[in-house]
Amino acid sequence: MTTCALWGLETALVSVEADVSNGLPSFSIVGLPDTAVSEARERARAAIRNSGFEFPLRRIVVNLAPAERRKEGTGFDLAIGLAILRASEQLNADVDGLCLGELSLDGTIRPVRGVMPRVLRARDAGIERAYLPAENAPEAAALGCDAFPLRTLRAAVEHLDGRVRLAPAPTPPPATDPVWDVDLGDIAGQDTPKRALEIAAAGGHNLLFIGPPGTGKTMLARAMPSILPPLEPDELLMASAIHSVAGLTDPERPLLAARPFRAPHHTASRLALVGGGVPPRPGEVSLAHSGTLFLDEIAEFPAGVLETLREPLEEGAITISRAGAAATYPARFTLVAAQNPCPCGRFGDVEAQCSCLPDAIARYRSRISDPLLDRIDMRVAVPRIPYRELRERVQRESSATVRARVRHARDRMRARLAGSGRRCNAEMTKRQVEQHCQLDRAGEQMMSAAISARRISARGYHRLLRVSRTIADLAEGDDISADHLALALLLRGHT
Amino acid sequence: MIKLSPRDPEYPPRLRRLARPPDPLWVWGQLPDPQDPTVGIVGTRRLTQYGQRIARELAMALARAGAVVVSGLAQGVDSVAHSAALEAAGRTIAVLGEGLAYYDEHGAARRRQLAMRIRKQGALISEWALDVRGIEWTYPRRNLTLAALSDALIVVEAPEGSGALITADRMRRDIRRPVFIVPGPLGASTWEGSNRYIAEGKGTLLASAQQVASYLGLTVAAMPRASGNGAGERLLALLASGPADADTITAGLGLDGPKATTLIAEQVIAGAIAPTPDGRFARVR
Repeated sequence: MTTCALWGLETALVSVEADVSNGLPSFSIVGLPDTAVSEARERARAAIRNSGFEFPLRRIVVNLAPAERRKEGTGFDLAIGLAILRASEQLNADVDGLCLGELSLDGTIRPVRGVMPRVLRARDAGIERAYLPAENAPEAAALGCDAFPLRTLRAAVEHLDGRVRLAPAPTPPPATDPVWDVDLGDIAGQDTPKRALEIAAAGGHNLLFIGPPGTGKTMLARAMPSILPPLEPDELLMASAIHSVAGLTDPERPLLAARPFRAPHHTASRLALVGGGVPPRPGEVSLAHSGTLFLDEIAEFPAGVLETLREPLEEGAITISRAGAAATYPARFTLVAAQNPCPCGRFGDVEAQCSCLPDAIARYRSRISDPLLDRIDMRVAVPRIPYRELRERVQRESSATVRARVRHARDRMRARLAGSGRRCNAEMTKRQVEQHCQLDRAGEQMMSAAISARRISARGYHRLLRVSRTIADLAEGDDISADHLALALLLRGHT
Repeated sequence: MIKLSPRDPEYPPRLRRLARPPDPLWVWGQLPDPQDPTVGIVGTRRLTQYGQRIARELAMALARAGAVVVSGLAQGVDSVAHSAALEAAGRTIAVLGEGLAYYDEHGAARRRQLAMRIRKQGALISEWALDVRGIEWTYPRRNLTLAALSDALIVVEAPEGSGALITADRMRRDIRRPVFIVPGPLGASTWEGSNRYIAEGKGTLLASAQQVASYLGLTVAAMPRASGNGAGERLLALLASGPADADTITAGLGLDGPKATTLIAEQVIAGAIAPTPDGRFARVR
């Protein structure tokens, strides 16, 4: 009986063996089960009895092999139940697929988290068939696996014995283009912030919007998914698998339709943001993998929570260590953040007067630490737009147009970075920056002027070049020109 | 820290003209030569960005010309004036409304760095015993001392009821030295007090740093004026009344996007303008 264990996103196939022998009636599970797995004894016993089978009153030992790694969760229940039935010859056929599912006491089979990464592992091992709770079957079907949706233990046995043939779950329809909440064309004015958003989408650079309340910072950020390029096949599997582990898979549409956009509220705990718990579950940073993490009112997040973002921003992954368990989740996201310019929000607003003391403003701004600010490539003001401009009925560029440019720029990046495991300019290593970010002569002059005038720090230098490279890619330029560099400098803002 | 009495030769002679000179006067740092002219620069704590630029320009120009900048080390205009004087390699005196030791222990951490630099290029002084805490009535008395120490006083930005206007009243009535007032936009509450002061004829409208410098017998380098027709000058003129974001600059200059972008970047590199922490651009000179 084959099933699959899950630690974070790491998986391993587990074979479940049962032995029923003469002796005093007993039932034990060996092979480092955790509490949830040990409790499978009670669930399996009740489910077998309540499904109309006989629970053998003999000495039963169930082994989970390989025995040296701790097994977690309730996904092994189905395999344990079937193994006992097979060993007591109430099930006559061998089970030739991956078994996952939790048993309830009346014999029905309940859904489990993290089906997708386990089915992927089984597929890699050549197992093309899976017996799954009906709710989870579409997840496996979407991966091209023969997934038999099971509702009860009895149905499972009847199917395996060939008495009642179940049909494998149909492959869910491919994701259609989602309808976006916000289209860039809906937003008046804000040319520079829109430009920054496009650059962030194309190159994966981190972006901070600063402006008084009600100027459209949140709306701009929410337009981000509408201009991001579609997920590449391997990104799609990984991002969908992370959602599966978190138990957030939509049964109708198990594969994500678009790059994720996660917007945790500023009351979110550190655990919710980076993940954790026993067993460790992915947090918002991992759910935003291959997509966008939007932090609205970033200054309102507790400082300790914000500092935990530094590891994923640097490494593209987060390691959660708990007693006895460590899990590494991918967390390569584009950070889009929004912030008021001061505690009252009116600093720099043409239509209102700020009532904050300079010390209070400085304190407010220092809530985002310098190391975190260093990792934000663009810092852009989102000013209040005069009413006149809001009313203007001009043809504005729609998200679809911008998205086409972004896709094109991404294609250029992918071709350039092919084989290096990096996908976009923000992920370039320093060596790749030196190799791929050639400035033309005017650009070179501007760069050396900026360096000698100390407008660029050593750390800012590479970030600036990465952003310039993206701007050049959007303009289909091979070398970075002075115009591209100038825009990157302007968007970089205060250093 | 040293303690001076009016009988000491190092005691600032300007304070001896008061009916009751501070005795003792606590000094931390190095008092500048009493022969050098002094100028008080005061204003609101809650200053606008325009006020900030003007305070900075005036303090820099006058400090560079040789004047000692006197102020009160509060947040806002005071701090801007002190740090601009230091930046111009000039000298500055901070007159505190609390004891020096008390300030050192309890003063805002953000200005401790500034206080330390002032001690190197000037002095912190206080007429209060070392451990006296600043309360309502210690500051007005401090304002009198500040006025007495100044040959001329500049009020940069003051709402109604501002302490800066108390200092100006002291200067006018008790010290009988000129008060210069920087005019501000009508309708901005932080300028109401100072504008009224001009309207009532109590102070002289300040139109240039040279006006004050001439009174002190100094000459300042001409203040930068945005008058040319080049795009760079027009950019500086556009930013004269306060910082602006990139889109506003682009629209204001009537340039196309890339041209405006390059212009802004060039001016940032040249040090004429600088990005602000809120993502806009401000004039730095």
